[in-house]
Amino acid sequence: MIGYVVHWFEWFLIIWLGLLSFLVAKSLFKPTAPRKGLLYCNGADFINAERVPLFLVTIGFAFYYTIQTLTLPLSELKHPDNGYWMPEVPEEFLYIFFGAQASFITGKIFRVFQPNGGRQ
Amino acid sequence: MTGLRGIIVSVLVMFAVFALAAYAVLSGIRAVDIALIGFIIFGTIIVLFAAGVLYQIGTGQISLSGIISEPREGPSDAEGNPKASLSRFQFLVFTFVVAGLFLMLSIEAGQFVKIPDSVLVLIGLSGTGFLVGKATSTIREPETPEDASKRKVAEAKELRRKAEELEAEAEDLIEPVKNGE
Repeated sequence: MIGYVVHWFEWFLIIWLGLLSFLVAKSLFKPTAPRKGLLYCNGADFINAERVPLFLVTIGFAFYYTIQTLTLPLSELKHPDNGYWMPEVPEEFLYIFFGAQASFITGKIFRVFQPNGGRQ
Repeated sequence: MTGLRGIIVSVLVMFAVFALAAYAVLSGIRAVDIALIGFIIFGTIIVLFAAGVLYQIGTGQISLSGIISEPREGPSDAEGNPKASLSRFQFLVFTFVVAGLFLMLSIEAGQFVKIPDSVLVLIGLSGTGFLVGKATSTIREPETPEDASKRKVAEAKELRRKAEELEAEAEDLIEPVKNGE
C-alpha cells in the first residue's frame, strides 16, 4: 500500500518539476525578459568576450550532462558496494569550466575598480 | 477576533491529533500503518504547498520576470530595465539539470543516488560566480568628482536631445493649426 502511495507521489514530483521548468522557460522567452544582457557588459551595448565562453560552457554542460545521464543504463551507475551514483563530469571539462568562470569573475572584479565600470 | 479564531482552530487541531493518537494506541495499530498515515498527511501538505506555488506562478501572483535579472538598483539598459545576469542564468540551469536528474535517478534506483565531487565542484563554482556578481553589483568604487561632472554633462546632453525631439514634435502638431487646416 505504502509503495502505491509513494509511486503517486513520485509522479506528482516529476510532473511538478516539469511544469515548473516549463513556467520558468516560458518566462525567459517573453518579449520583455532581459535576455539580451546575458552576453553584454554591464551598462554597455557590446558583447563581452569573457561572457561568451562561460555561456557556451553552461549550455554545453546542461546538454552534455542531461544526455549522458539519460542514455546511461542504471546498472552502469551502480557502484559494487556503495549504491548508485550520478555520472561523473570529466576532469577536462572542469578545467575548461574553471577557466571560463575565473575569467568572468576576474573581469567583473576589475571593472568594479575602473572608472565608469570599465566602459569607454 | 482573528487571533481568537486562530487559537480555537489550533486547540481543535491539537485535540484531533491527540484523539487520533489515543485511538491508534488503544486499537493496537501497526507501525507500518502509522508510517503510511504519516506519509499521506505530510505528502498531502507538500503536494498542496507545491500546487499552490505552481498555481500562483501560473496566474502571475508570483512573478518570474526578474528570475535572471540583476537587482533593480544594479546595471540596467537604456530604458532603465535591469539587465540579464549570466551568473543567475547559469545557477538556474545547473540547479534544474542536477535537481531534475537527481530526482529521476533516485526514483529509478529506488534510493537516494550519491552526487559525485565533480558535480558538487561545478555547482560550487557556479555559486561562487553568482556571489561575486552580487557583491560587485552592490560594491562600487565611489565616483570621483571628474566622473560625476562627466556623467552630469552626458545627462544634460541627453535631456537636451530629448527636449529638441519634443520641440520638433510639438512644431509638427502646431503647424496645421496655425495654417487653419
